[in-house]
Amino acid sequence: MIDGLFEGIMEFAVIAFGAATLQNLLLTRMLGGDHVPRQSSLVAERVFCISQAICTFLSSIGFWLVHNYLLPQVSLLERFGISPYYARAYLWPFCASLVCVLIYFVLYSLAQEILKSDLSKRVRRQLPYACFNSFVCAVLFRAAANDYDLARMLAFAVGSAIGYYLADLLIWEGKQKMEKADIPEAFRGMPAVLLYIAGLVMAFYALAGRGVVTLL
Amino acid sequence: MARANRKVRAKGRLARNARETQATDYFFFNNAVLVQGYAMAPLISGAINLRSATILALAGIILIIPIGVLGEVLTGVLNKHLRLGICVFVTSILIIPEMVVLYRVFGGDAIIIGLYLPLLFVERIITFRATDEVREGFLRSLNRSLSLALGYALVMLACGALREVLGAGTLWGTSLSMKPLWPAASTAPAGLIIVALFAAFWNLICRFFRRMLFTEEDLND
Repeated sequence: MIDGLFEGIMEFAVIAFGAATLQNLLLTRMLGGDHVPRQSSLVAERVFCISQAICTFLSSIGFWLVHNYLLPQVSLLERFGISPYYARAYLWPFCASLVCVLIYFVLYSLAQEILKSDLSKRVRRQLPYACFNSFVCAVLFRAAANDYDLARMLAFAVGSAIGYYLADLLIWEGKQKMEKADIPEAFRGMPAVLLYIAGLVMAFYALAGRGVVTLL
Repeated sequence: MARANRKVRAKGRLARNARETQATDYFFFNNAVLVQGYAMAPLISGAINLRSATILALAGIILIIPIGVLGEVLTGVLNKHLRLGICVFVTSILIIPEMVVLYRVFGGDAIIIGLYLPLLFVERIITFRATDEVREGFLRSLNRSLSLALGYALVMLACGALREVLGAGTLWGTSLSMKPLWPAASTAPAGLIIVALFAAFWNLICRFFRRMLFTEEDLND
């Protein structure tokens, strides 16, 4: 039993580590990248990333339940000659929206009731963007596409959220340094940030063992 | 004296129009992708050739315009949270027939895009209007949504075309009788570099037109 538990913990750690580094959704695919131009302060970034992590974790549980127990009951699209696999895939956005909307309202109410006024205001300001963004839904869809069970899905969600937080911090630090640097006018703002992220992504590609030389 | 007053009033009107144009133009000065940074994921990882870019552009246009108008209609009727929930929910329903049609029409090209097509439903470029508290009128809202949608589509198509020409030496699958200049153009880092260069070029053009607009006011003195 202890061996089984140890194996389970190791597998959880491996999936989470892979999701945070080699499959980092922000750096390798720019999922959740809409937030990057809107970074305002380090505290706001931490609040956003932690809110998003909680949303991702809770959404994973909700989506797994909906995907495995509710969706097989729905056979609407199969009547139009669409295969069961694609029929379920077409309904992923609908399921994700149900889960995310529910979690948004629950977390908003909890933030209003439980947290202190200053922190509550910060969290409530970031919650719409933390709950409804491509990063959260990408975690859900990728786990569903890979047919993960609940434990693997949670490992993937936790790892992805940690990876997003670390990548967001890296980008934030780079932006701070760029504000002080002497950058040509045309490249100030978005262009410089995108070029910086391109450099980070190339480093991650090298870490993942993908050829970097062929990129240049 | 009266003539000087008329000149001052005319100059004030022109300045207000230039400022208003800059603030309310969502195609050029406030382009959704290159200035505001929306839709980064589908642009960088999804639009790897012209066909994929066309699919993503069409999908985006079909969602941005009605949801933008829906957001305007619901402003003042429902609070921000309900508006956001309804807009996301409606988008997730609208995208189902859209995906079915796009997969039927484009086949394998739509499948290659992968998750970036279904993920469009939650992109901020589509849902941002739901969190806006200011009512701007149906026509202005429609104009804003159209400008955003066209700005998004233009950038998507331009990037997709450039990446296909550089990466494969083809356009829309047709060979251009040239060697691929940059085979890695379809990867994410290359996409980031291309979009960054586009954004820098766009910045330059915006600054040029801004200087031109204010220079005209000086000439009226």
